[in-house]
Amino acid sequence: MEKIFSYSSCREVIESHLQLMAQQKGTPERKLTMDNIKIGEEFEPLEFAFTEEDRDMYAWANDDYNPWYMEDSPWRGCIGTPTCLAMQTLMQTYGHYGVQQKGINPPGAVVHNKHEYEFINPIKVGNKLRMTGKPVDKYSRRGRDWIITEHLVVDEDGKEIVRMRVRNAWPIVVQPEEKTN
Amino acid sequence: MLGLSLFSLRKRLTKEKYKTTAMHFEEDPTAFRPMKVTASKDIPVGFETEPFTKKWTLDKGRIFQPWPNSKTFHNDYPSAHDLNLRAPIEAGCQYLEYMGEFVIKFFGKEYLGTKLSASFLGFVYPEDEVTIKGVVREKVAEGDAVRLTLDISALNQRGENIMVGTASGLVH
Repeated sequence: MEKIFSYSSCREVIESHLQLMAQQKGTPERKLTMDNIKIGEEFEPLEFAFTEEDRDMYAWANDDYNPWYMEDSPWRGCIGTPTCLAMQTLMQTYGHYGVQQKGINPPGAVVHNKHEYEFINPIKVGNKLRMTGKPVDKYSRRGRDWIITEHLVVDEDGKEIVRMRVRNAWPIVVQPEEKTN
Repeated sequence: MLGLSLFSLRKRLTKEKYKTTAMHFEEDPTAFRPMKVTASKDIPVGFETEPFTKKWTLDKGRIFQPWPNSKTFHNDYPSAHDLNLRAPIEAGCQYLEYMGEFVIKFFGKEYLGTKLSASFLGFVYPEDEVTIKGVVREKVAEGDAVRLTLDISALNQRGENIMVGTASGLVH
């Protein structure tokens, strides 16, 4: 099929992502530190839609033009990729703690380390979704701090779509041979 | 008249040339290719899925996190250098998509109900190629269905492990 890509549609996607981040109440004053992480404290819910523009961006960025995403699927309508809501979990977590990925908060930046999914229902393109989440564990190990969060996405009818468990760590560790000269 | 004849002869010879010369049409490297063998009850333990390869480029990174609206160590050289990275690295969320592609290609409609776990082990730099492959590690009967558990690997062109994962799903 003809692949249609529009850079302006990607700008719409980043604008929507920035709006999602703005929904969180994180500020640089609410830093990502071990003391600030309260196990079980619910993050502010994120409400968003997986749009056709999101679908196009994922297809173009990953060379994945599965007909179920682009044309039609067994669930009547286009669906998103199974793993496409990973970014939103980071927005929810980073937004809550006011993370700024310029090495400011936290120093040395955060790296996404592990991601677990339980796929329950398909992500229908155009459907409105709601994500809730909370930290469930935190620890320090091997010179880094780690946070584990759990997230649940439901659609506008309250139907569960996907459950995710995410591990992030800071700071980023660069191996000696990878450093700049 | 002679000129016209020579012209017609040349035209005919050109047509003949193109009739006998096979045109080489390249395949679209990004076209969707379903797996030839997908999840079923007959698949044995130890079965290796057909691999597929993804190439990451700076352009793709700048689409995934639109640049220059968003400048991070995933799409911007100065931001990467600030963190002692030699170049921008692919976002974990982006190479998680390779795992998602694997799961939906292998399990098909039955990807719903599967569980996937992916751990990031290395960085993906611009122009790196990542090959994803799965091996059936376990096969357990659960009622009428069979639960297949696969170990998934993602290796770059240097043979380094970029990501490892496990996918577990019921096949009816």
